[in-house]
Amino acid sequence: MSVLETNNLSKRFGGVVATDAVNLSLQKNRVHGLIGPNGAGKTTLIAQLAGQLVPDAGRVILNSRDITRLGEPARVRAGLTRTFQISALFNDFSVLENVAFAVQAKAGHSFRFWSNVGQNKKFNDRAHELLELLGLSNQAHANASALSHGEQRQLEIAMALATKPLVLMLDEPMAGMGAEESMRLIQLLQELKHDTTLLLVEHDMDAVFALADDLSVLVNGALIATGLAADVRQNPDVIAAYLGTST
Amino acid sequence: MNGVPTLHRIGGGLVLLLILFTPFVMLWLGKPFWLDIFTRLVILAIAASSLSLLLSVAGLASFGHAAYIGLGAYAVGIPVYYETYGGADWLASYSGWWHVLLGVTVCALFALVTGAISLRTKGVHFIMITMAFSQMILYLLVALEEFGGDDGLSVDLRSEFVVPGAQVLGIPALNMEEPWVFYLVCFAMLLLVLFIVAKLRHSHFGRVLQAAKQNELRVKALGINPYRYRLLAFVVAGIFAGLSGILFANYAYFVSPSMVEWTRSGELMFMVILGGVSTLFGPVVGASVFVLLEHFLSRFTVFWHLPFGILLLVVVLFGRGGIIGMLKREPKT
Ligand SMILES: Nc1ncnc2c1ncn2[C@@H]1O[C@H](COP(=O)(O)OP(=O)(O)O)[C@@H](O)[C@H]1O
Ligand SMILES: [Mg+2]
Repeated sequence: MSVLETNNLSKRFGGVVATDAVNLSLQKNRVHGLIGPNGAGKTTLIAQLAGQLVPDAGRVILNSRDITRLGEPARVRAGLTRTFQISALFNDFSVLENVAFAVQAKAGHSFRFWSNVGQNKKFNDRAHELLELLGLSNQAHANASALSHGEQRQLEIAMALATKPLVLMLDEPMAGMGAEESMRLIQLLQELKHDTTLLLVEHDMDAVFALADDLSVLVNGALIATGLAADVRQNPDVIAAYLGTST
Repeated sequence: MNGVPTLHRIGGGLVLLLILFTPFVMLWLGKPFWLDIFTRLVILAIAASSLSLLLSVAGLASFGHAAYIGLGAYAVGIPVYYETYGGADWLASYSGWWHVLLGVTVCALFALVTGAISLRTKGVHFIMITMAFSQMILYLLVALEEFGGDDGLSVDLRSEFVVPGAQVLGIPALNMEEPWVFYLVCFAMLLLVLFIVAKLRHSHFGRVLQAAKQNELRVKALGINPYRYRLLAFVVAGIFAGLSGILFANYAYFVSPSMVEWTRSGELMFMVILGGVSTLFGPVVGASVFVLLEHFLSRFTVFWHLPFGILLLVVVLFGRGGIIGMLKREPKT
């Protein structure tokens, strides 16, 4: 069953066609890999799916509902969450506060003025769970800006998970992670698959091939192949256009 | 953020105690004019604290905060004027409760409307548009010929706060005309505003504001649109500034459009930045330093604005966290 799909989604920046009539379809509780050279339009595509960027044409459909006009926060509340290629953290908050705030965002409106949110047990407990999951527990009270690059990538994911997404879009989550961190994340994503649909943009081919059930290849804004990962890997166009030329 | 601020709280408490008692000590030493200076200091500290909710907590550089002081002040000036000279019976009153109701309502509405528009813009545009709205109030007040236009309006009597039934119970009415009573009223208002700002800072609401200040993109990506939260902060800050305006009209026995000049808004920003944008008591310290420096510098030279401006530049450029930030700076790991 298709959870998230696009219909002829298109976006240009001046002369650059960043998204060229893309028809993408994510199947429920599967990992969909999205690969393509730098500048192919992967991040731009995610931004349109997330509602951060308005497409020039085409539609975005989430669980049979047309969400093309829906704003970004509303999409998140509907279960569609993204992570950022460049970690987008709250640098003055501690690691725990970053995640606790993400939990707070999921918990309903924040027009609450009296209680001290830093002492909210529900938020903090859930945040600690997520930090544990991402292996960041011992950094809980560090400032987010004091984390190593790899740890910031982990925190990025912990925050996204706090929103309990139905569909999670990961923009190069492993970029900048060490081998051990990558392994841990691959394992985690493997488990997430049980109740989450994943769109994985990633340059680390080992990670993509280990995780992706389905695979799409984006070149110059257009999908040149999409389908079962095993099939797409054998596709001669893909080998010629992307897999063959990349090192 | 991590439970460190005990020291800071003690320091803030000391600053407040110092402010509370200094004028009385000076009175005792035979220098009663300090009560006047400190009353002004406390009123400005209220205004600066209200601005800090926008500037420090929410990261919104509103450059029109003086408009609310003006609106609050005229919410005293106009009813008192009518009560004294007749006319507009529905508006005329010496009652402080009426002045507060009027001032708070007008400020809340003005903040709601102008905030709804301003908050759609960012950065320099936000600064410019908030300043433009405040200039509108300035021109409106200048145009009110009946209330003195440019020259302003004197306030013959201070607001009367009569608690119904209090006299029967033997509780004496607040005599706001008594300078030290008025001073204590202003100080109590400062405490109230600080308490509420502190509560808001650490609430769910405050955390949304702080998060959106750091990374709006991410706040949206977590499912929260910060707009309404910012708008509410804008309204609350406007109301508090309006209260300081109500007190100011009472303090000066005078209201005038010059209270709304953009330099006034700039001074409030000075105070907040001077005191340190990341602390609750920063605006109080900033307002204190501002008022005291103004007092001493203006005794030496009429050109006191120049050294003052230089000081501000130094603080902003080198201090980062303002005066308090410089004092409590710890080595970064
Ligand atoms: N905001 C923007 N303004 C103009 N051009 C953009 C913008 N964002 C992306 N682009 C262009 O769109 C193309 C796709 O970029 P991007 O989506 O970041 O690719 P990828 O994530 O696959 O590396 C690139 O040519 C990039 O320069
Ligand atoms: Mg990218």
